[in-house]
Amino acid sequence: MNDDFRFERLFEDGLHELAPRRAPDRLRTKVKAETSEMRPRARWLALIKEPPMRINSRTAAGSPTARVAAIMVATLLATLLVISAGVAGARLLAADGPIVVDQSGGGHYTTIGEAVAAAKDGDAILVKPGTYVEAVVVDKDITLRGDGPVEDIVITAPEDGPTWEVDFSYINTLPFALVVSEADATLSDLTLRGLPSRLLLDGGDTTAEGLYLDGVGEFYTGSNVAKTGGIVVNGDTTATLRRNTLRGGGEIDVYNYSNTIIEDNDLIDGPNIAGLFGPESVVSGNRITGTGFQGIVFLGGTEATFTDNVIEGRERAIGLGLGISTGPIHAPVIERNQVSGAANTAIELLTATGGRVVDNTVTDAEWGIRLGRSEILVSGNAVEGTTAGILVGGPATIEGNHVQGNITGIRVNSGASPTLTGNVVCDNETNLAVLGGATPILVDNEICEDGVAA
Amino acid sequence: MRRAEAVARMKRELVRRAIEGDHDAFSSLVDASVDRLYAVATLILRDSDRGQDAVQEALMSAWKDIRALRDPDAWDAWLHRITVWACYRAAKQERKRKTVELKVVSDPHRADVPDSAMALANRDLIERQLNDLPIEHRAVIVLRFYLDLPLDEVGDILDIPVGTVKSRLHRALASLRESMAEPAADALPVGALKDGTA
Repeated sequence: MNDDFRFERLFEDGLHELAPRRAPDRLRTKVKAETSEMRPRARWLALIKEPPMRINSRTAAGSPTARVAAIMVATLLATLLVISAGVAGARLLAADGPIVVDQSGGGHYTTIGEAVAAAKDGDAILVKPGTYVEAVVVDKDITLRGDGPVEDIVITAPEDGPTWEVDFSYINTLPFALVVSEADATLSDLTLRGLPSRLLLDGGDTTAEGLYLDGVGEFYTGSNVAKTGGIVVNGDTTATLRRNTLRGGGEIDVYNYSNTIIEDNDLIDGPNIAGLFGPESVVSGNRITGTGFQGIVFLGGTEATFTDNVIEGRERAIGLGLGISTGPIHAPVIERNQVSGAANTAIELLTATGGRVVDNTVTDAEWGIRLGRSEILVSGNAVEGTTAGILVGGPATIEGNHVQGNITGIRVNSGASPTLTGNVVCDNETNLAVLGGATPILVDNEICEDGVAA
Repeated sequence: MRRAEAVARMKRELVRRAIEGDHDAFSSLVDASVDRLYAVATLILRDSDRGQDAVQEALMSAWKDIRALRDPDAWDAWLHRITVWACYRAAKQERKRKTVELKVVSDPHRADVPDSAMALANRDLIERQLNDLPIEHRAVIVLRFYLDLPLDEVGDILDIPVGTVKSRLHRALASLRESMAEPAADALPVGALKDGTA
């Protein structure tokens, strides 16, 4: 027998003889009792505390790199807290340290899905630049944020990837790159690229901001075929979509009267905003430009607010789209929007009950403000350069509008009985056209006829 | 083999749940590992009370810092590492207190198997060998010959190069070889008290 081997065996046998077989019961009891009173500390704190290890250690809980990174993050967070002493800083420190996803292996995980699986409520996941071919389901209250130039942090749905069930009447399931399911999540600074790489928000209360959707979903082409959104807010969801950019591809779809805030987004060449809006919904400060058929399309909803949007060059800029019968529109507020270049209609409300259209600016459209039989207040709007500035088909109240430079200023259709008060209607080829059977009430208007007030 | 895979899978799941904050999962992991850790700590520290304290500290630390664990499959290695470091700290504190008493106790839970004279002699010999070694060398011996870990993993746990692991093992084996050549006149029965250093 080899001499070393013999002595090794001696050590093995001797150690096993010497070693106690069983730990005292009080040890295990004490450990369990004391740890049950404690919570594991945040990952970044744990990494800092971790004793140093060699870089190639396979047993490493935290490599020196991760530890240094954790210390740097901690230092940065502490500095931020000192500088700002604000709520945001406090939140950052109070929350768990960020989980880093880096495709090149420099983070805790190489895929977003793994990171989400490992995350807990309150965690933040930072995604480093790379193209992540994944369909990620976020079912926790977490923050998922790009860490780098947003256009370099790309999530693309895999070919033949999974689908998600949605409530839209035309389509039951959709492929996706990112789903938030029944969670209060924050998504920011990520790019979703390619037609199937949708963002679906299904339940919970989610904020998506600073996202870039590049050719995601399909868009309206002018036919009556419903296309599918790039961002879909499904079911009973509260969502805030802020400062996102959608270029090409499909719209922002809000289904089932969700309460949604859609503000300061940039929709270019195709995408629009469409949906069944809940009473708390606000669509504000969005820029909808470039080619495309629709701007803001509310298919149904109650007391939704559409303010301060800029819509250029869409055939139908704001309104009920395509005559789809999806329920009543009650008391919408359409205020301070700027609409130009609408080849069809700038603002269209065919069936609204209640609500108001105020202080909007409409230029260069086929139809300016088209009301159908809506009972609604139309006030303080400026309409110029249209075939017909304001078209009234029901008992609307039209007051204090400036309607100038149109072919027809205000047209009151057959059977309509609106009240026109304090409007300035001048410099139109026909300032006021009242069709047979209409019975408008005219009070204190300035209606010019060949430059002379009537 | 299939059972081993199932056990590994179950352990991985427990670790994953523990990382998510599931204390019941952590308790199951404690049950599965505390005997082994206690043996390791007692062998390294040569003292059952201090071994118990070290294991307690290690397991508390494991729970507190469990979110630092990157790979659930590294749970055992991570736990061994934390335990050895807890032993080092315990030994350091002991040295500071300049306490040199070292209890070598018999294990009350040891199986009631009668020792053969040779086994007893070997045990006493190993015991003396361990007591004569510095704690860093004892840790190498225990990890290598008690836990049967490969050299690189021993190096990982102790944060030393494999070459250092080998040299420490060589020194311990050489020392044992020399001791075998000498009469074991001072061999003491297990359970006796004797002086030494940790």
